[in-house]
Amino acid sequence: MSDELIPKVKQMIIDALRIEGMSADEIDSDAPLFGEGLGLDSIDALQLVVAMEKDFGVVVPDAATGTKVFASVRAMAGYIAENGK
Amino acid sequence: MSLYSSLNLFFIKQFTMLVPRWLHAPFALFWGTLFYLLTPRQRRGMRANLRIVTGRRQVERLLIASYYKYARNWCDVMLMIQLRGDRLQALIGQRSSGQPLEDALAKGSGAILISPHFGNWELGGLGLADLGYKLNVMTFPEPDEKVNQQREQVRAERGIGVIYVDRHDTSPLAVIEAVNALRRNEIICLIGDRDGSSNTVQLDFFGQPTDIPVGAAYLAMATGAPVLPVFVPLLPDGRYATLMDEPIFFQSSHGHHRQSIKAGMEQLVAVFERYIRQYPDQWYNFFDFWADTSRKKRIADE
Repeated sequence: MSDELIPKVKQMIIDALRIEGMSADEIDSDAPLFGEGLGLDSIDALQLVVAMEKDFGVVVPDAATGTKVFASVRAMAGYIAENGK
Repeated sequence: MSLYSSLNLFFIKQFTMLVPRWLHAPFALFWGTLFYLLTPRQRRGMRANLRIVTGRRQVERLLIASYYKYARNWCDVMLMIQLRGDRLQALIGQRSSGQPLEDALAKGSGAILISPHFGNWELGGLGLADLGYKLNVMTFPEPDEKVNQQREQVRAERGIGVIYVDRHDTSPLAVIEAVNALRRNEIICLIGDRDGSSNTVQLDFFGQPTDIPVGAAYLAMATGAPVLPVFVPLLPDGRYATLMDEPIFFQSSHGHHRQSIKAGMEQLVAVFERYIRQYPDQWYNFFDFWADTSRKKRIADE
């Protein structure tokens, strides 16, 4: 179930953060989103919180949950699968 | 000597319960002058700040006025937590248009109200909550746990949420609860002139390089909520003005966040300067604002 969401999550990241010149296929599902991985920053993290709620109706309630959810695209997809409406 | 302790607040509250407000002014002058005499370090710091803000060497009258108005401020804070409805709103003698706030809430984006340590910022929050707005205060916990408990109780009674921020938490997700509140179309209130966290940008503030916290910018860029500068100065008639300035919008574009933050924060700091210049004795920083900022920066760099 959560693997089916992975392409949608990748597209959400590209759309929400308006990343130009990158396709969903270029995003590694297991790479860290921040720092060395996709190289997202603090604002990006918060924008993903908003995008997940808008696109999937999933709320990330606190920082501790967010740290786990935004570990990778696969972790995001797993959280959405568990908590999505 | 700490000005902001649970013991001080207890005595001030007892005073406001026993003494009518029209008698607060002479008592505030007495206690303000006493604290002026008894707190040399705070006095020197505040004097240095006033010299930079006003560009004048002679600021002693303003300095004493600061102590006096701060004493009045705390009397009114402890008084107004006992007031509701018309009696609370009667403390406000002048209101600017709240249209920027109404516009933001109509759009469903929530709003970020930000003030420096200026005037009676607590009254602004209580006044809005009293009118039915859903507010959340973003704050660092105070060292005195009893002060935290008192503040939480007062706010909870009025439906005001408290979002504590760990000043040592460098995670971008530290403000996630505030993002969620804005998504619910609620209001976030915060104080934005002192460097209290690791997330700052260095800007020119009264001609001095100053580390200014950027939490409001992060929230605005993530959610699209406007940043609304607000000010609650004490007026000569003993009541307060609630003043809301024009909204500041932070444009977000991946890879260009730093520039957007700087541009928006420069606008915000310029608004802070404008109001602080108008009411220099109501910018309450009882320490050497720039010397301490520079010292902290040096320590952090080392």
